[in-house]
Parts: sequence; structure tokens; C-alpha cells
Amino acid sequence: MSDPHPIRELLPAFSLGILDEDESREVKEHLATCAACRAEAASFHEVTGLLASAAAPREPPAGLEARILRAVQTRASPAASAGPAPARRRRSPWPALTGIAAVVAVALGVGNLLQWNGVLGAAARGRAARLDTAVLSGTPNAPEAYGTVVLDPKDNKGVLAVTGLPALSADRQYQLWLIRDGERRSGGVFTPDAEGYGSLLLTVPADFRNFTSFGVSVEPRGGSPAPTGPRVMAGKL
Amino acid sequence: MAAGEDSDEQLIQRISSGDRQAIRLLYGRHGRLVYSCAFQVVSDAAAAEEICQDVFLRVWDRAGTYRPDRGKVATWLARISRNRAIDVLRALRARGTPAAAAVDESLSAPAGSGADPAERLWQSLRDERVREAVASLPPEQRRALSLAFFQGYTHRQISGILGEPLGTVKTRIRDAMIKLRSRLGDRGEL
Repeated sequence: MSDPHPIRELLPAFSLGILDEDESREVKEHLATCAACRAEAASFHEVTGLLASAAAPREPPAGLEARILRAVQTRASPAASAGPAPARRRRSPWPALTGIAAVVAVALGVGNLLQWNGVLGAAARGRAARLDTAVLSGTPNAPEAYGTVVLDPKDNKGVLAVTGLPALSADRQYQLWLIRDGERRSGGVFTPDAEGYGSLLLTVPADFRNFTSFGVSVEPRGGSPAPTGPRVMAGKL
Repeated sequence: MAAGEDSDEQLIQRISSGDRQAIRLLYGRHGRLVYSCAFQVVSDAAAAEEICQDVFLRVWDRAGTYRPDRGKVATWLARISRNRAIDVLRALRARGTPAAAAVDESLSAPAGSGADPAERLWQSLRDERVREAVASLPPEQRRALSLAFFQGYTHRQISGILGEPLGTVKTRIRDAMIKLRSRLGDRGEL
């Protein structure tokens, strides 16, 4: 008789975040339907949390609190529901020139969202807002996914940077969609790297500049004319 | 927490409905913890600062997803911070940056070498119960766990670093975590 909880022995490593992509996907699929294993996973998450919270104390730099509160000021209120957080428009204090620099920075391979934000933030303090930013959140199909789109409204070029999307089989890719009134145009396809980071340069078609939201779905490699696979991310411009 | 102050769970609830004062209070209580967790992994003040900011922004965005039955807020925050820091360390490592190399070098002393930096890291943990629980592990379990916990190496990578079979590494890490869970659970931590 086969084991009803075949991934159980993987749960400690899962909570440490050290499984490979296949194993991690297997565990997540099982957890989606098994309350007992979810409870066990939670117990190991607590161990990881206790180890982490025992870190030797270190004083954060003095300006960090103010930076965080300022960043929070520019974000709309979070959703109260347990669903994916709604995306929100965020005016970024980045000068127009770094709109192009932002595109170039990602093209040069600054694939880590944190480094990317650091690169752009450092270049940009205190100047007038000229870039549009949208946050994309994972749907229940990809709850760990999180991403940002930066668009330069002057030339309608932009960049997508995402983290936390699961690896796909070789015959599939993720596809970005620009959405307006139910109409969907492709923004391009991308494949996350081994770290789970994906990026994409996009050009908004001239007749679609007033689109209102984004989606990301799983499609056959090379993309589809219209979405066919599960939706993994969504966000509003 | 003084009488009349909101609990951590109440602060999270307030944050999920957009209360900015609540996130300020949460940072006041746990900002140092989140920063310390990140620093422990990346050993770099600038990176730790970015991670800490990222964690609180994530909390702001996703406070609605916290479930009290999944554990205390502090351990939830600590885990998010450590996980984000591991992401950063892995990305830096993939790009071959000197910062990641320095962390790796400093923590991957060969087993049995005189000064074991991973051991020092375990001993620097500020919670005596957690320190004791880790100290109660057999050294080979502790060693494998340190590569996983502090550096986010996969089983395969740890197997390569330690020169041990993959199956052995998996078992050691699993046994270490089970033992820690039982020790920390017995003391009412879980």
C-alpha cells in the first residue's frame, strides 16, 4: 500500500528552504490537500523561526525605521482578506532618466529584486516621479510569487522582475499579459532562473497604452495568442 | 508589553487594515530581531538593511495572510527575514560576489579543523534554550544543519561540501530538526 504522505520526510528540509525545485513542488502540491502535513510543516516552520529568532542581536542603522515608514506611506492599504494582496500604483521617486537606466539595469542581469531596488533607489533619491510602478502578486496557483513592473510612460517601455515562481517543464514558459476591458495582449514570455528570479523587457503596443492591469500565466514554450494556462500572478497598473 | 498595549497579533490585524501606526509599533518591537536575523546570514549591514526593509514591506502587503495558529509573530518575522536573507545570499553566490564568498569561506571550515566558525555562530545565539538544544545535537548533525540553516545550501551541495553521501546528509538534517522540535516543544516553545 503506498504511503499517503510520501513527502513527510521532506518537511524539515522544506521548512529550511533547501529542497530542490522538484521536491519543493511535490511538497507544496501535497500540502495543498493535506491538513495533517500542513500542521507538521508548521511545526518545522516554528523550529526554523526559533533558530532564526535566536540570532545574536545587532542594532539596525538609525535611518532604517524612517525609510520603512516612508516606503509604507507610498503604498495603499493592504487587503484584509487572505487572498493575494491587490496590486497598487506606486509613484516612485526615480528621475525620468533612470527609466531607461532601469531597463538597462535589468537587461544587464540585475535579476535579484532586492539588488534591483537597491540599484535604482540609490540612483534616485529625491527627484520627481516619472515612472509608473505596479506590484504583481501570486495567485493561489503560485502563492510565493511576487513581482514588480516598472514602466516609463514616455517611451512605453518597461521591465518586469519577479521572484518566487516555480520552475516549469522545458515545454512551458511564463507569459505576461497586458489587460484592458477583458482584452489581453501578450507582453512577452520568460523563464525564471535557477534562483526563481525572472525578468522581461517589454514594449507596450501603441494601440494598447491605456491598459489597466497585468497577468502572468503558464503557456507552452514560445507563448500563446491568448491565455490558455493557469494564472499565476496578477496586478493593477 | 505593558497593560493596554496591543498584542503582536492585534498589531498584525491592524496592519492588515492599513494602520500605519501599527507597522511603526511592530518595527519598534521586532525591527532589531528582523535586522539581526538577516545580518546573521549575509554578514553585511547594507544588505541586512535592505532585507529588513523588504520584510516589513512584505508584512505590510501581506499581513492578512498571517495565521496565529501557525506560530508567534516574532518567529514568523524571523523566519521571513532569514528566508529573504538566504535568497539574497544565494543570488550573490550565483553571481560570484566577494561578499558571498566571504560568508561561505568563513563558515565552511573543514570538519574537525581547530576553529570551527559554524560552532561559534551556534554559540552566539542569544537564547539559552535554543543554544542548549543545538548543543545537544551530535556534531555531525549540527554541522550539516549549519550549512543548511545559515547558508541555505541544498542537500546536494551539503553532500559535496562535507563529502558525505546524499542520503546521509538528508537523514542528518531531518534528525536534527526532529530533535530540535522535540526539545524546544517540550519546553513549551511550540
